Amino acid sequence: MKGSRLGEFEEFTLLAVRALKDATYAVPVQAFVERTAGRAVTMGAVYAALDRLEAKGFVRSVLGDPTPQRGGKRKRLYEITPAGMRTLRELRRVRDRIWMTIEEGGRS
Amino acid sequence: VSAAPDMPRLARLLLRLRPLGRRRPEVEADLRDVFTARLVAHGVRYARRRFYGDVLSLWWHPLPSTEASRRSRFDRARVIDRMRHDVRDVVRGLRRNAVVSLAAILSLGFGIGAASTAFSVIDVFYFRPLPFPSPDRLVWIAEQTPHNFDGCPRCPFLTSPSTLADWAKQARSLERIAAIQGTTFRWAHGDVVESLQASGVTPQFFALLGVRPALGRGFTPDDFLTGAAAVILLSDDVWRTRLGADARVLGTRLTTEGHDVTIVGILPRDFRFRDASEVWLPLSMAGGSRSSRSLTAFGRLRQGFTLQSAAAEFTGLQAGLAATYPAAYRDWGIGVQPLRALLTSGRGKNRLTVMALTALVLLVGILNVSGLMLNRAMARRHEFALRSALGGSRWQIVRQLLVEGMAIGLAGGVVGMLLAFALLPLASVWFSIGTTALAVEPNYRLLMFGAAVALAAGASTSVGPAILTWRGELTRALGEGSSRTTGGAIGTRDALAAVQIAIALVLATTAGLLSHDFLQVRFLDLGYDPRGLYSTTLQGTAEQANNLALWHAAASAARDRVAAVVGIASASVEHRSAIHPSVVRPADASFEPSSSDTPVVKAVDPSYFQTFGTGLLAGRTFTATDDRRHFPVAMVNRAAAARFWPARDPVGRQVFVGDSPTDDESLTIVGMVEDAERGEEVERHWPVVYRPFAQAPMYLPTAFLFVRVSDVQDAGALAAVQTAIRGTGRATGPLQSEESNVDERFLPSQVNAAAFDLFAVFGLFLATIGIYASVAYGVSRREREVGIRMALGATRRSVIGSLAGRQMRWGLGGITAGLAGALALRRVLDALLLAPGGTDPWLLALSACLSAAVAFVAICLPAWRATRVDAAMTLRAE
Repeated sequence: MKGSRLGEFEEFTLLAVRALKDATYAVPVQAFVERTAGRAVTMGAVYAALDRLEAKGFVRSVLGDPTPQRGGKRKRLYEITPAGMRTLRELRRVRDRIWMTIEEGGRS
Repeated sequence: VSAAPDMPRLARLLLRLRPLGRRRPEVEADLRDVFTARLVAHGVRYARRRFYGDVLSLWWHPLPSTEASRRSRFDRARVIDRMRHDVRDVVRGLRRNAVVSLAAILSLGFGIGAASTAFSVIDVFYFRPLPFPSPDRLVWIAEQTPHNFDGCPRCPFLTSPSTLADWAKQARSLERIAAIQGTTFRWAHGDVVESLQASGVTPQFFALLGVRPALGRGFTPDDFLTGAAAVILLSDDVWRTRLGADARVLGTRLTTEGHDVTIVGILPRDFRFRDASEVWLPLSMAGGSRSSRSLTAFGRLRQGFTLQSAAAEFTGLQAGLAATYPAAYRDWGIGVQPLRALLTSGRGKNRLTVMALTALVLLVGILNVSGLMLNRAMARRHEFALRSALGGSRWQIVRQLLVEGMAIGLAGGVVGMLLAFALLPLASVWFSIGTTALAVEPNYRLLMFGAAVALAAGASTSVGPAILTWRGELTRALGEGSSRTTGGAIGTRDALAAVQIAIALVLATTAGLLSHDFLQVRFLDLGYDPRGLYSTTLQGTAEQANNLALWHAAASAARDRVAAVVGIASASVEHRSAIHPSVVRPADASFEPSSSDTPVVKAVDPSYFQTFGTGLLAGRTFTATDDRRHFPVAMVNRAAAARFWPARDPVGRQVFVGDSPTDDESLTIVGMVEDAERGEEVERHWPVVYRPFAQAPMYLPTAFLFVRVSDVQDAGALAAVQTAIRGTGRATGPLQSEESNVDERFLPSQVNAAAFDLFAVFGLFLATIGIYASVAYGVSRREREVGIRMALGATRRSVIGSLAGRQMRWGLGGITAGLAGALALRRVLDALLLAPGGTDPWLLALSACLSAAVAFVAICLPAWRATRVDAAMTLRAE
């Protein structure tokens, strides 16, 4: 496994959980990643990524209350943990630094 | 899965099989949400496709959280996980040996493709329910011909409208009863009259089959009343191809024979019954004698009745009718059969032979891959032995072999399915079922069959190596020298090769015979020249229908008009008699009539044989003076002469032609021509009696008009003829090229021959590879021995003998077995052949020699190559 590091798809998934705010579930996450990344994403991949993120402690999940729309079936609701948030920020800082270097290099 | 409509069934099943533990409810609900969202946004096709993707992705991705609560002893999820690893290993292994793997995959793929196509055909013929609601309750009711009936004693036959009406009134076992009758619909549009294939049906027909028009309405009882406005239903095909799929045609009219019919409905696209009917009309049931049987009747059993109880009831009904109307029903019986029997009768000739041969192709494929797998397993003896020494269990090695086999099988299955999709339309043509309710189409039964065969075939190829591993023969090799090969494996492989030779020989023989037969019937002399010959149909008026002289004059005038066109060498008419006379026999009492070759009687004009280019063998052809005022004459073809007066000159003899023994007409034979009948292939040598057009009685005022152009390339002449025939006002369609008719007529046998050739070439090719690989492997293990023997002065021949001797003996065994098989098949093959004379023993011998030669080369080549290697080099390499 990748330890506390994130693969590209995991990063997208984690970002989606953050972007969709609190208490989202697998279906909107799939739709979000598919829409923003512009490529077909299977539910299996989303479940696997959420599973791994949860194992790494970046998201946590609870079973929601049954809703009549789903025939009484519960949703598994995900939210990002502080650790997950820290990792995302860290990744972004690294990228920003790299881009800054590139753009300065471009100007000079 | 909580049901959302349109969710694909197979994918739902796969989802149910995927272990998900306690997360199942939420995952299933999620997938349903996604499906619904996509359904709304992108439509059902997209949603279904993506649903498959999602389900498959669940199988692919490990979901640890689904297993947390599972502590059962047999943990499916873990097995799946392990299998995933196995599959990855195998894929890598196959990639390493790409060429061998590809050969194996293609071998199996071809076999699976052929077998799956065969399965589809067998399926529609025997098993797949007919595409109508409750198809098991549909029955075909046919009168049975008397035991002395011409041509076919005790056969299912048509029934008459009056009989049908009595059945409808009296039969309690049937919920509904209906009948159908083939006819033509002459559609007049623009300045042409076009003949469409039509079916006349009784009021219950569509209700009985549970078919509703896709557009508009079906027939109502009022449509069948005398004097009702004429209505018509169109097939989807006609509507699309001829009327531009325009819904506004409903309620518009088509003109036929001087009156109009209103289009009231379009039938569903997939609706087919028994033939390629293009339009459907209400069938008038009025009147008619009980002996004029023209309807095909069928019914739907009432709930609670069986085929047997219905048959018993109808036997009783028929006995009652026979008592009331003895003349019409004397000796006639009745039969009630499943509707399937009606649709399959006369179709799918020799399907079982074809199935057997496809099974052979699959078998060759499996044997071949088995041989390849065996070689690979032997080459990996060291690896297996090492693994076993390091504590790997035999089961692990066997499992890997099985997974490998199944992976090859599945890949072969994919190839096979693609092949089957391509072959299905050909199979439809081959078995002439494309236009019936039996039409074969790719469906999930085919996919299931293909998958099952692929897995079974794949697994069976690894049985040999697996058994050897289990017995320890492949894992014991670690301590032994690398040149020692295991006896069991070698023996198995040689036996495989021998069986392959035998099967290849059977295939090659069959293909040789069929191809030869095809070439014989197709490209040898037809008895006439189809190039530059064109035909159309002439149709008389109602007035001419009752007056032979008028009709004769009209038809002759049309012919003369066409014959006068520049560039036309000759034109002639042939009277098309729907019912040919039932009594045709020579005046000599010695003749024994046989129902199997009752001569056909045709009425033709004097220029007929010139137009066809058929050679006159004796006597003269008809002249303009052979008319009503002169004594009646006739000509015969060679086959009729041979039938009536074997080895004697037919000219000057008498032949009786008539409808019953009392009103026979005695005709004098004036000439004999070459066999040139242009019907089905077998009919080229059918006995034919020709009468002068001007002397023959008329059954229907229709005739063929044949035109021969002087120059085949002359398109201008053809256009002029088109104008001329249009000007006659009697032609019912554009000119048809006889050449393309011939091509079309031979298409099924061409497909037949080509498919068998393909089978044979492939079978032979596989067998060759199998044998070659087997010998080459054996030889490569003994290079050192060869080197030593060559160095010691052994002759090349003796070395080859010792290297390939065993395979040669096995090969001889294979050839003997194959020859025996081919001889046994000969009887079956005779039935497949179209040309007269049956199988040719020389061809049999030739195919056998060819197969033997190929096997011989495949055996000797590797041995011979081994002896070419420099002995000193081999020894130095040690």
